Amino acid sequence: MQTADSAVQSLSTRFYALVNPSLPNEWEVDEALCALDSLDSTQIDAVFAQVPAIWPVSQSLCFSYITAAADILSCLSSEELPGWVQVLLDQYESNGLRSAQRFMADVEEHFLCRMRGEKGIRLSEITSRLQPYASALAGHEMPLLPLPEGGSIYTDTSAIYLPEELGIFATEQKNFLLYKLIISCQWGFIRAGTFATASLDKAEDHPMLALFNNSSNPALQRSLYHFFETVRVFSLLESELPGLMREARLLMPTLANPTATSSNHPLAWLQQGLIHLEWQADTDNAVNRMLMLRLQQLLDEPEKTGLSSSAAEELVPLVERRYPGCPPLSPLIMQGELRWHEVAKAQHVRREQRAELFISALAAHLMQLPEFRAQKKENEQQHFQPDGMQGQDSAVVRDQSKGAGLRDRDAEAVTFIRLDNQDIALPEELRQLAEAIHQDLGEIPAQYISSAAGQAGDGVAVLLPGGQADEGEAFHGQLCYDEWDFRRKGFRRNWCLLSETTLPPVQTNFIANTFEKYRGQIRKLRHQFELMQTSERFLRRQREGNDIDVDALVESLADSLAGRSASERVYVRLARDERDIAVYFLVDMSNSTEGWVGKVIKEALVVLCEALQALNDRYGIYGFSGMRRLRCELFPIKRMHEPYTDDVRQRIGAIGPKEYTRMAPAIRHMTHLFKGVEAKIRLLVLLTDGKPEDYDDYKGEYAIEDTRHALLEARAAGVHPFCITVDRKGQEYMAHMCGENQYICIDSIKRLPDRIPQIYRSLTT
Amino acid sequence: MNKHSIRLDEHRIDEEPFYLPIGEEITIAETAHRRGLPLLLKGPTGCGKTRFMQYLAWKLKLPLVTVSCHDDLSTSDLVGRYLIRSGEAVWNDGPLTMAVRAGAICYLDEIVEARKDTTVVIHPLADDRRELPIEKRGELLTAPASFMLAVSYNPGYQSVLKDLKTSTRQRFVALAFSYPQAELEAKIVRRESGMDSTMANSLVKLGNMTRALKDSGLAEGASTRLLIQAGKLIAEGINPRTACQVAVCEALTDDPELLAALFEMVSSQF
Repeated sequence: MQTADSAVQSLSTRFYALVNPSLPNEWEVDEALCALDSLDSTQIDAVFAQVPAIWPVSQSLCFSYITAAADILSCLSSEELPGWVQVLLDQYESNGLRSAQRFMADVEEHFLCRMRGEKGIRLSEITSRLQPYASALAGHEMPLLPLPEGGSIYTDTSAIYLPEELGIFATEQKNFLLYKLIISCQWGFIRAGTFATASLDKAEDHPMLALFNNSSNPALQRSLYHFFETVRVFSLLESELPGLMREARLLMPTLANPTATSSNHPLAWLQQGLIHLEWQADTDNAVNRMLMLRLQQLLDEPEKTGLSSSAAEELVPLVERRYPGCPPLSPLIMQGELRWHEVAKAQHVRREQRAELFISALAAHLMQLPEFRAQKKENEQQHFQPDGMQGQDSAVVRDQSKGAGLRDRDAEAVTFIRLDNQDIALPEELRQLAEAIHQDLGEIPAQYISSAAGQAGDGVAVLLPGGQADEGEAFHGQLCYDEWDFRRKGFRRNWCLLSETTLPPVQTNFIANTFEKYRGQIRKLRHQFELMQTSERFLRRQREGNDIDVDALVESLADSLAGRSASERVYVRLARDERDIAVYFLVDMSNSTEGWVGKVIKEALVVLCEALQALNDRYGIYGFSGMRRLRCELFPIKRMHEPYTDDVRQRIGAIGPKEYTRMAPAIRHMTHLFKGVEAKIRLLVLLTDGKPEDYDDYKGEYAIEDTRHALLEARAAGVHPFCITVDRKGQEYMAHMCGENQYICIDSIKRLPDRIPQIYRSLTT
Repeated sequence: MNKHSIRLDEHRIDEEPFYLPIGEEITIAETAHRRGLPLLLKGPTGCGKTRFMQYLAWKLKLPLVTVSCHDDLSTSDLVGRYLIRSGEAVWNDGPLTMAVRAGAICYLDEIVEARKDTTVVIHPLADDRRELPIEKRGELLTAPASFMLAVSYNPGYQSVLKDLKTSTRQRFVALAFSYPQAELEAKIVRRESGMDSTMANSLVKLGNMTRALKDSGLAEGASTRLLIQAGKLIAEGINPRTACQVAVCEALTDDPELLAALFEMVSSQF
């Protein structure tokens, strides 16, 4: 006992030395270290060698690791330990403590299988490939979402829920294919109309559930129904996705016999028949005869709904008679589970979203209508407010009870709405929405229209970018921007509030010093930039052109009269290679730029601006920072049409570290500003020192995906974004966030003032 | 005049081009022609706008003069210019003038690509005056009844710069084109590429899947033209998956993630 205590004592001394300067709880340390009792000294050394790697990441993880070390080393050799710890930390960082602990608990499955080349595959690894696939199948966004551990696969018709990891097959490739099969199969249920019913208010009302509950053996009937629907789905997939089904046949033998008990089921042959959609006939067996008949019907008319439920209903008594106590068929993995409650819930959510979308789109549309705006203005004048723009109280009060309503031109197409006795024609997008609502509810509720009119009257739509608000560059109020949530593959509407804040000019000798420091470079750059300057000009003496060059012609005629060979270069051509470029520089002003990073960025801006003086390119500079979604700030340093004056120089001098890096709203705002700029090339140069990040949960994948989406939106609006980062780890995420070839990582920050003008030059020539 | 008719004969379409009408577009275009109205065809790339014009020209038995617009296209490229021939300045008609003189169809493809000041020359031609002033010659041409002006553009380019001036667009009868319904499209793909109908159906399904990706980073889904090209490769014996990869996926995007996703769609079809 004495020796054991002293051994723990010496271990704990070593441990404290390793985790210095932290001072963890003594009893916690002792308890963990007791677990190392059974290990020899080399093993203990190996375990301790990893502590400095794990401790700073998570202390709880470190304790769990030491506690589990003995078990781990019974599977792994000491040499394999560092590699395993690396995977463990990855696991922790991407999925948290729980997942890392699970990983630790099963060394065999989670690590050694992979070492042997066998591999399960994680949902997060496949989404980049299969998410677009799922959406393309469905024809609209169809998110692939992770299931809680142990839950069974299902779809609620708005999304497909999948296990976080699949390891049924030994190879990654087959597991990937299984994911694809599951997704296609779940989509198949939606496509085949398994869940289709008239509008439902409560899941309990679902006719299928009522049918099952009335059965003598609900579970069996349910499982038979599920199976018959799967037959329909498979037969549909066979015609819709023949390539997939051909490949899937290789997986089916394993999938159709998951366990020994399931292959003993009297109806196991049904599921095995799914492989080729062929079943063995047995004329002596009444159940078999009936099943064969029904299956044939399903295969003949896979599009027809309703066959499955009647077949299931009919078969339950037959099966019960022949195989008393027959358990329900357990569904195969790709069949998942049919969850009517979730479907009804999703339908409800969709209805709400549609209503919200319809109301805001209609409000935006109303805002554009001249007659509506005129009315609004009138109302505003009556309730004049000094700060006009926001005008919360200038709501147009209308009597909706009489005015609002829907007018159908014919029974199906919704083309007009009636508001205040005015017929308002709907644009295509709204019309589609209105039709979807009409199909769902049988009418468009009057309150949808009245709240849209209310919103439009309140001027809420004015806050939306891209609306008809003509605030232009000089807008000082707040703007709302959407934020992309990659988890739901949709926007969080009006999520970020962005305001422009003017930086006070600062009188320092920063500008003078920079001039001094980079004098030679500025002179060289100016010269280089001057050479890029070209404009519209006439090219004389051309072989072909728009007009005749009279001078050249006279010469040529004189030559030919004099008996010399006449030149053919007698035309004038207008060369239009003028630079028509507008560029915004968006500068990261997060507090990570504190110190010399920020200083070098500022110097780079000064050098660039001086060089740009030699060109006629229009450019603007904005800084951004902020904290949380409701306080995104943009600092105009030079607006697009503002000349480069001392004020601008002083504002560059005033750039300093502020708060966080929520990049996307700033990008969206720049895209919005670009809408008012006419230029052949519209370039957005983003200058940053790290990943997008904010104080709240805006970080990691979420932030990168939002930024990536904002950049995609910019590109869609005809703006070329380009990112320059000084983050050494930039390679890891920049390609995904900005797109290949759309970014550059600069290792040596010192060279920034030199590199930025060069990058600019190569981007615009 | 004789010279013009020789050059214009090259633009005549003698064989009936294959065109499957989607709606009433042929009747509308014929009526517009009869009443001297210009046509504006809009729709995504490769959906059959140019083929429709060829068919119309064949049906009306008129030469079709096509000009592909680009941002360096000048007014004289359309109207004409003086050239020096053996010491003399000789006037040379541009394609637009040529079509007006002969009463042909002039089709300005991708009109938004041309500079806005260039497109203004078509204004007097596109309203009830139906005149083409040739400033350099001091000539005012009046279009004969058979002349028709047609322009096309792709509204999918979401750029403020690539939009028609209101004063230009409000002179036209506008026909909107989109990708045909799956059955029709399969028929078109089969007919144009010479492949069998199951393959054509799969190709069209693939096309529709890519079109659903329009908001997920793909600028535009696969056009009918692209599907036909893939079909031609398949009909010549290239493995369908390879054919789709080279003719559809790689043609649509450079993004590695999207390419992987597109290839998953291909492998689920073939």
